[in-house]
Amino acid sequence: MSLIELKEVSKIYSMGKGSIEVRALKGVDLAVDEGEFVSIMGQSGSGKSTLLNIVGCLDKPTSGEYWLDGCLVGSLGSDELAEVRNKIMGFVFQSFNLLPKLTAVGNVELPLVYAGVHPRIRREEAIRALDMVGLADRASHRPNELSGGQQQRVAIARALVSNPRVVLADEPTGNLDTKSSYEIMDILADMNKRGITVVIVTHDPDIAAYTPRVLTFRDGECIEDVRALEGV
Amino acid sequence: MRPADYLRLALSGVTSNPFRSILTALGVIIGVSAVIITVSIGTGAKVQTQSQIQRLGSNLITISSGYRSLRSVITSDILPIIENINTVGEVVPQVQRQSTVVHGAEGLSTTVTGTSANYPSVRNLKLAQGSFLTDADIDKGSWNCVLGADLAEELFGDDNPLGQKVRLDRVRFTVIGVAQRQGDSGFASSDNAMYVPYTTMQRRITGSKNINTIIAQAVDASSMDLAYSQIYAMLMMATGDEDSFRISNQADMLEVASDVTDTMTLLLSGIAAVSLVVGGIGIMNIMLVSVTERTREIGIRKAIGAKEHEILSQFMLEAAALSLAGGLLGIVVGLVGSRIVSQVFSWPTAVDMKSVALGFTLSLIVGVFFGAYPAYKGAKLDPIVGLRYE
Ligand SMILES: Nc1ncnc2c1ncn2[C@@H]1O[C@H](COP(=O)(O)OP(=O)(O)OP(=O)(O)O)[C@@H](O)[C@H]1O
Ligand SMILES: [Mg+2]
Repeated sequence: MSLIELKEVSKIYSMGKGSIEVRALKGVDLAVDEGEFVSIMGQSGSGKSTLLNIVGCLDKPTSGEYWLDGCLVGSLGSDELAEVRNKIMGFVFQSFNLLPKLTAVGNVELPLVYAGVHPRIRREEAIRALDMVGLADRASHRPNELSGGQQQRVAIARALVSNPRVVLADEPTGNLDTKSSYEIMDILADMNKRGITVVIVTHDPDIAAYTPRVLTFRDGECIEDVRALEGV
Repeated sequence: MRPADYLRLALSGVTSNPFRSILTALGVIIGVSAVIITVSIGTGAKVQTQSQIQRLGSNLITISSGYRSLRSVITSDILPIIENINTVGEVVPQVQRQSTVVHGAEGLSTTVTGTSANYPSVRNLKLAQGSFLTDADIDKGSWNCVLGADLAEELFGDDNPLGQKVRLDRVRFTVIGVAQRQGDSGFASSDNAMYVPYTTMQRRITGSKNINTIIAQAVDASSMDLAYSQIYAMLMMATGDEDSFRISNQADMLEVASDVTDTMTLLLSGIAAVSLVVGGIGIMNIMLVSVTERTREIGIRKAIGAKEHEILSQFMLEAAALSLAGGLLGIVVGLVGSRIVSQVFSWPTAVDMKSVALGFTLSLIVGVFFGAYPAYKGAKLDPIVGLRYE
């Protein structure tokens, strides 16, 4: 069984009093194995973010089943979902989503705070994660003292710090210039080499070219699933 | 999450916007300090009235004429009858009149009390100079008098009043004693007073055998009730009319006085408690604003694994910290405030530790109660909605 398995997953947003329905996902079947590096492409509004949010246990499908590592996510309570997000998932967002009041290292250690890790240990882990993204010297800077690329690297360090099995990134390079984008992709590829399953959403074919597998979405359906040949 | 992290989070919530936190806590500060000040004024008043009533003497029963009787039945004739009751020890007549006392060019309005020789022992009056009236004075209706401390000072200044003459109406009295200062009894100064034999008073000044009040002292505290009913029965027998006389005992007075102050205290602290509720609503308002402002923060925290109860505790603790800080400051303001009240207005105050504990508990309850709804709202937030919030 794959690490991530979606079966007939649909997401319907009903606006107002049920008159207008937006079908963001229309019965998506998808399997991602442990250790894969996948990118999702598609037009705006095709349901990529919706899918990623469901995979990340931030959102629930209207119908269909989501199996994560052999466990039916729909049967989990809100505390268990929080636990999954804390221990198994790492998120990277287009708009970084760092807490402005905390320093870089404060942001990075936040998942460990909720995991109940001892302050000294989590500080060490956070510094190590910052080191992995090359920002150990910026540990005590606040987000507004960092460039966009640096902020995104802090966000990646935060996603990494709790040793997740899956990292989900929704347009992680969407707000960055080309050079920073490639730096971010190098870090993500590096994480993937260490065995973490990485799924990213992107509009940029050059970014998608980093990943051996590319899914293309249109109108809530997966219309293409391309795997690059080994060694390309 | 570790307990220390909860505390750190709550404190950083309070201190990240100090001015707003102080304004928010102000409602609680005012509420708690108002509760403490009003309760301390109330307790002070109660303690004071009780000590005043006690100071008038102990085990006393007061007999006076009824409101509706045209001809007073309380006269000198009654005195020996009351004296004969076995549960009654001392009996003191008081014939009182407001009058002007003159010495040289000085004339002062004062309360003149015609009484008997045992007045000082029953009413706790102590002499500073000379001696009080004697039984001989009473028997022959002498022209001797004793002055209250204030009156003596006003009339004679630094001169020795003993042996001097003072004039009351057309009668000249010789000063044989000066009383010690007693302090205000709340109603009138008992130091602006003059004591003369009641016999002289009746013959020369009032011209009747009437007595305003007879003070009967029971032999001991346990015979108060018996003495009271015996006096009542005796007066009924002598007059045949319940409305022609009044009797009251000290216990009744104490009870009435403390009932009055208790009611006042309850009323005032009720008003103070209302301001505490208003303070609580202020906290709720700011916490709602805070939860809305931090919608995105909540979304981020949930996305990285914060559980609902962890978000709930974060905001509840923040509200409790605000309100507790307000409560503690309120206690300090209340303590200082009641000190100021007693010094500036010279009202007696007594800070009751119970009211401090009450203020503290109330502020905690207010914080938890009014923080609950905003915190619940934050905890239930959908992480997706939080992350999308601008
Ligand atoms: N909370 C919501 N309520 C209503 N409709 C929604 C909501 N979120 C998404 N949608 C709709 O669902 C559809 C898919 O949205 P989604 O955000 O998944 O698109 P996307 O592929 O990520 O687009 P983009 O590339 O622009 O980010 C869109 O039509 C969008 O309008
Ligand atoms: Mg999107």
